Amino acid sequence: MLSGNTSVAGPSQTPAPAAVAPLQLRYPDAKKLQELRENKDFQYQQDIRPDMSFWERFWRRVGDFLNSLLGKTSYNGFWKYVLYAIAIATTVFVILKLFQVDFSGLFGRKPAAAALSYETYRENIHEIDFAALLEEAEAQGDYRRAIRLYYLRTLKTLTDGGFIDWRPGKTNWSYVHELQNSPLQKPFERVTQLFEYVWYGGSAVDEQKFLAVRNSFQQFNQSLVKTA
Amino acid sequence: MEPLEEAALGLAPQTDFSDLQQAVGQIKEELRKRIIGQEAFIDLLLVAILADGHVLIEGVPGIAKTLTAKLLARTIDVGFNRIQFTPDLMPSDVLGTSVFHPGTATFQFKQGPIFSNIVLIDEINRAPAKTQSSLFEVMEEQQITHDGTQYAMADPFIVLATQNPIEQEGTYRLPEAQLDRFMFKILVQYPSLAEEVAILGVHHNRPALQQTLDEIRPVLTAEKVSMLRKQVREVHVDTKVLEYIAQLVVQTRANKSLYLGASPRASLALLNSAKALAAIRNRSFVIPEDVQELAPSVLRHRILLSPEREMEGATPDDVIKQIIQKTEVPR
Repeated sequence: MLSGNTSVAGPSQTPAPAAVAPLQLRYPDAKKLQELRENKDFQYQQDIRPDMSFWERFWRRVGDFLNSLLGKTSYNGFWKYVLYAIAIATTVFVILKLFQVDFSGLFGRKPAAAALSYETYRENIHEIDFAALLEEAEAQGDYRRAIRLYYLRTLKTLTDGGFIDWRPGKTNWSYVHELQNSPLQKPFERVTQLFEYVWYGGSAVDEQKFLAVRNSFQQFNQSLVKTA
Repeated sequence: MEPLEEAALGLAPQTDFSDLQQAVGQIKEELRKRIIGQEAFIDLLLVAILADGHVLIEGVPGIAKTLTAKLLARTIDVGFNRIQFTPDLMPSDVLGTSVFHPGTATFQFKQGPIFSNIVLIDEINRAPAKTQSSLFEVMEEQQITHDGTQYAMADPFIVLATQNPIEQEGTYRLPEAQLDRFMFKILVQYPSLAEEVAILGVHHNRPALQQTLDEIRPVLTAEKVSMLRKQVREVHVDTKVLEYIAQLVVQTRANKSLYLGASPRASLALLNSAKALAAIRNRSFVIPEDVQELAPSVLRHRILLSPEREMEGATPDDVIKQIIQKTEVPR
């Protein structure tokens, strides 16, 4: 703010007049001026769009379309929430991917792990028709197979009776241990040993041996009935 | 069923394992003079000896890893050497080196401590990878190559190596190629309270260590070991059990929890060790029970957990257990 007591310079401070030379007016070359005016590099008032490829034009149109949608005041709130939802979903997706969580099952597809499944369960003892298969094996003289079927049937009976918890990954001796404190443990151990000699030991089984082994299984089944 | 009943049915074992069982019983008896408990550990050591495998023994300091290995070596009347692995140990300190003889003006190979029947490598993971690599050839091929000349090891040749867990100060992780050469990695646990009390009782007013070692008498010779191994090789393995072994090992390669699965060498180790275990249990054939029992010791050092599972605190044993549970036992 200027105050009223502004000092005024005295005559001693007045600059000396310079030697006056006549001014010469110079004009730019009209041709050059026109040339510069036509040069796009100096046209600041207009929006000069660079040359665009097909994809650039396509994405620009998509962008313009989205802008036209988002720009409408009546939809402002709606699109804001859509953007929020997309951002949240993207964040969750990235996090799940980082932790390698398999969420493909959500969309009705089999999870990726199923493709690499290493479960090798081939047989369910609850789905086997033992009577028919035993009859067939005995008729064919396939005694090893018959002994196997007798053993599997024994396991099924023990499972049905609640004596053991059937799991394909368990060994025969796991079931023997599960029968601890049961009067069935010893007889079951016997039939287990017989089965293993035949099935894993490669022992040859003729009819006579088969009848003896079958007798052991039948005895076990009798003791099982008594216990049940 | 009593064994006699099986014999009557013609299902008795074809091979007579009485010699083998007697030897195993005698070795255990000798070891019990000094070792309290650790039954599973000793059983696995015996299986490895009969199956011609090397053993890596891991446990915290002070739980008789080295002592057990030393005593076991004494029960077999063969050569024994001990090498203490240190950070500055060089491959030539283990294998041997050429020494110049001025009299003949020639170089002569001076054998290193690896030249023995039973070699105890104490604290194996305290030496760097360079020294570890020197064991690759000798552990797999039972020979070393020096200056273009091959030197074969005497039979039997067994490496028993002890190590502290890698979390311990001053230890290195062994290279995967070397770990794969060990048949078993045995994790030695602390003794129970009752065993701890028994240890104190035995060691109270104990004689000097050397005197105790002298009490251990050899019960096996090199020839006997060779004969027992031959018996073990005759143990029958059904195709179904072979497939079961292969399935367990192959599944480690397709498991999402694992970054590295087990090699075919693991399958062979599982097969051979299962045969030895069956023979020790007086069976002339392998059953899935044998395979399941040995799988953790055979596989745990050959697999690598994925980083995510490792961060979750899972162990290789957890994954092996899961694989075993998910694989159908052949029957």
